[in-house]
Amino acid sequence: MPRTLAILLSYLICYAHAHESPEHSVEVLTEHIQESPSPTLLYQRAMAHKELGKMNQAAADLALAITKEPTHLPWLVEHSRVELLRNQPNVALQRANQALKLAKNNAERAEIHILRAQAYQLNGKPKPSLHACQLAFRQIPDGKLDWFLLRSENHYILKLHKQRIHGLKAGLKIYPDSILKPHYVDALIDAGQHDAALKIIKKELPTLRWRAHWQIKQARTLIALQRGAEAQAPMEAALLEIQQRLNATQPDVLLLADRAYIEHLMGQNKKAKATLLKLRKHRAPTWLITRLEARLAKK
Amino acid sequence: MMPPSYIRALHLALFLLGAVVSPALAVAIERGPYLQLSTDSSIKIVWRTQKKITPVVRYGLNASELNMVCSADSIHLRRTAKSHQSTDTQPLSKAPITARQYEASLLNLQPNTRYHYAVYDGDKRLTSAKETHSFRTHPKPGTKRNAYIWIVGDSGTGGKEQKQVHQSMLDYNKKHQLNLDMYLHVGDMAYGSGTDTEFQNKFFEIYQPTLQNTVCWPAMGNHEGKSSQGKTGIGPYYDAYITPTKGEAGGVPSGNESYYSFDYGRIHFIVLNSHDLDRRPAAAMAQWLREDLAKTSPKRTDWLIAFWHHPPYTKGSHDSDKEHQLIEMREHIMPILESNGIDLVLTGHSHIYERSMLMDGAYETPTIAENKILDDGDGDVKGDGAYQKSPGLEPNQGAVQIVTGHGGKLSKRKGFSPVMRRSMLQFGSTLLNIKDSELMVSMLNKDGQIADKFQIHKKKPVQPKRIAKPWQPGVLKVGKPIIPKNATWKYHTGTFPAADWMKPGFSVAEWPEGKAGFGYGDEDDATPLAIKDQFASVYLRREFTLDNEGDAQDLWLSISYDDAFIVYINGQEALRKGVGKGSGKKARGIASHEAAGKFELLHLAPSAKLFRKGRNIIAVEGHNVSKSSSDFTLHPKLLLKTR
Repeated sequence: MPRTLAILLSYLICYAHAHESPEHSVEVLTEHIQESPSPTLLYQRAMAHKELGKMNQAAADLALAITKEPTHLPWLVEHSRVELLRNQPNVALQRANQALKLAKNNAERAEIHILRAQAYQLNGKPKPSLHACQLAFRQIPDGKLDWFLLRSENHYILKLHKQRIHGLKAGLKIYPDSILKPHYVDALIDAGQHDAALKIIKKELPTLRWRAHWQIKQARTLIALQRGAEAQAPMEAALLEIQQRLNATQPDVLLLADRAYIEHLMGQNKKAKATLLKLRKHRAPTWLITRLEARLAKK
Repeated sequence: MMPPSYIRALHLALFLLGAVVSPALAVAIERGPYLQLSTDSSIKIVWRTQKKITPVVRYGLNASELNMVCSADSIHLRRTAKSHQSTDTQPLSKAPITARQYEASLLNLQPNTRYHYAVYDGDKRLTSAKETHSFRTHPKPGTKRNAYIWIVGDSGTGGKEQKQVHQSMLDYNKKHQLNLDMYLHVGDMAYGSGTDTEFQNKFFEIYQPTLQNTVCWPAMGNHEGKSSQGKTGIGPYYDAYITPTKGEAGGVPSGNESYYSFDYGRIHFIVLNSHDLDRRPAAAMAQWLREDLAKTSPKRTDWLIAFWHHPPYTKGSHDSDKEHQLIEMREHIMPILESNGIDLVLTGHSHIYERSMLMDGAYETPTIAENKILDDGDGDVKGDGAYQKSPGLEPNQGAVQIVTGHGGKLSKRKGFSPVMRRSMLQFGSTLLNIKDSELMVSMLNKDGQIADKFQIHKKKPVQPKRIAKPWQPGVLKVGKPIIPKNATWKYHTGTFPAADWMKPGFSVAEWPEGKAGFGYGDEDDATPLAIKDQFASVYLRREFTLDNEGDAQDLWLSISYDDAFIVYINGQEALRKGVGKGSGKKARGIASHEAAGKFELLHLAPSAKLFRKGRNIIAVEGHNVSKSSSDFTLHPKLLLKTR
């Protein structure tokens, strides 16, 4: 079949099944792929697999599609993303590097550098991850909000507190009052700039309906300033608020993690460990449990 | 030579013609004008032309006195990359190369005030003075004002049903003298790939009468996601919409065009991108959601409403127990929303209307209803009673989920979700009315009927209780026959009956009785009719009894027919299939349909108001496509779904 006709047929098949559920799309596309395994159909089936959460099948189809069309930039990028979801940072990085050579403009290059940064981070390599973040910012200096978060995470792991504060401050200039603010306060606390942190916390608390998350920051700061007695009230208030909001049978895992951390700050380590067990029972993500375990290990 | 009077007449004719067509010639507006990003003191007016103009918006409190001006310095021009000159705005990503998109910012407006406007090219008016172009600014956040909102999903086919759904809303509003305060679209507004052309043909051209007077707040669907990216904010979807990324309309700045929040009086709206951003709890979107909700104070907010595309609960054309995006929205996002007191979640994607009971904490996969339902009634004040919540934004007091993906496309359902109280395969849209402590929702189908309604009241403190064994949706094939197969009917054919033959007071004592089905030609008729080549319609009547008024919501017509029919309940038309217009001898546009021994199930809930407790009259007129047709079948049954 001439290539153009095959491509046209692929698009017609995709269009005809555009409204179907992904299971149905997989069925139909599989039939067509058996007759004519065009890369477009393989890509479409990969997307249907991805919608069904079947990342292994999605990755296999994408890999095959790319074998047939190795210079298709969007497919390479998509494959890299799927490999990240599959927890396969090396393959994700390899695909991102391939994609980088094909990128035509700053926006494309920046997005690919962020993918590389995510792959490095997933692989436990914060230094190259940070470097990849910086390369993305070099392409688009204003960046995107989530790039600032990713860079800050690398700074945190590498204990580059000053750079972290500087980076988040730059982000807050572009995205004022955004979610970068709580991260900025955490960075100040981690850097030992407690007074600066307390100043922001004091200003922020009255604007909030739910305060537990910020009261934890307040307590951390006060404890670090050897004002443990003052930290008691915000910790108790935070515990009470979390208790009020937690769904007993199906808790929000981040709220539960906050509770474990307050329990730890209050010296109730048995309770904190019990809460950690609950987090595991409710299938909290590994990163959350790991971070909490590291925090609970600290005195 | 032409007499002078003729020349004068010709000049006059040309002048008049010019006056009539000159607006048409001058109408260089290719898209819009439409409204975007309204706040209590500002709004954006957007339109496109092919040719360069001197853009001006004139506006004022009176349509005949547009005494305020927004001129070029407050109007951004966006073009495709090669022609784009502004550094303040992004170029259009995919528009035609000639497209000029003007985005006017009207500032320093009064809150809660209706303004009229017109778009000009210099001094030349481009928008017709005959049409209404107006908007009402939002009330100040925290102040009381009723809100009337239209919600649509999965509409972008450009087909007749999409237009009917739109028209039914316009007709309903006209009939009830209602004005929309806003229009929410839960995604899939331009099939199949959300291209610029598809947006033009399947969204802007169809909804223009609404868009010029009402702001449409969008959520990105998967079809828009084929050509637009949430990560970068680039693509035709992001060309078309201006969303608040900096907290301009209330809420915490999201920094991303594909998710945002806004206030309307004492209602806080949250819009999420369920399609192409990380939906996990630590991702930027979920972090923003937490911060935004933490700052939403019950001192200024009575109601929390969220909308996005992929439904956390559905068994329509998609299955929320199997699909990744749907599962993640349920497992990761719903706990955040419910622990912050969400009241209503609006989604699409599944081409169906589904509406839940009052529920909380149903995050498992597969979804279960046991101990997740706080009120398993129908939520209607005229039925089981409105759903009750405490005043304010109390966490985990229950929310109602609505899948409103029936704005232009219907698809076969996969089953019934255990948390859904209603599941309807009908084209339609959702109307939301909020008055102080009452939130009222209606599903308006394309025929203009209210097919479902419920209310949430926040009047006094309540202690929610979880129901161990809540109401469960049943399987369609289980049903108690109210009028069984081969039931006896009074029937009439050979002549047209009197015009009031379907009315309860009409006497059918003289009509013969026969067992259904009625017809000829296919040897499946219990009462054969010798009407071939003589007569093309048959009229049936009988009585039936309903034990409970609420049963009307669960009645289904099961009917085998060839070719078309109209059903009347207590003298009023309830349903028609295959009859284009008119009835009886004035019936026209009969469409051919083969019964093939099969029964079709049709939900009568949209006509529930026609039924009453006790004795009812059902009348059915059957039509053949022609007298000479080789066969005719009419065999109705009535089922009460016992679920």
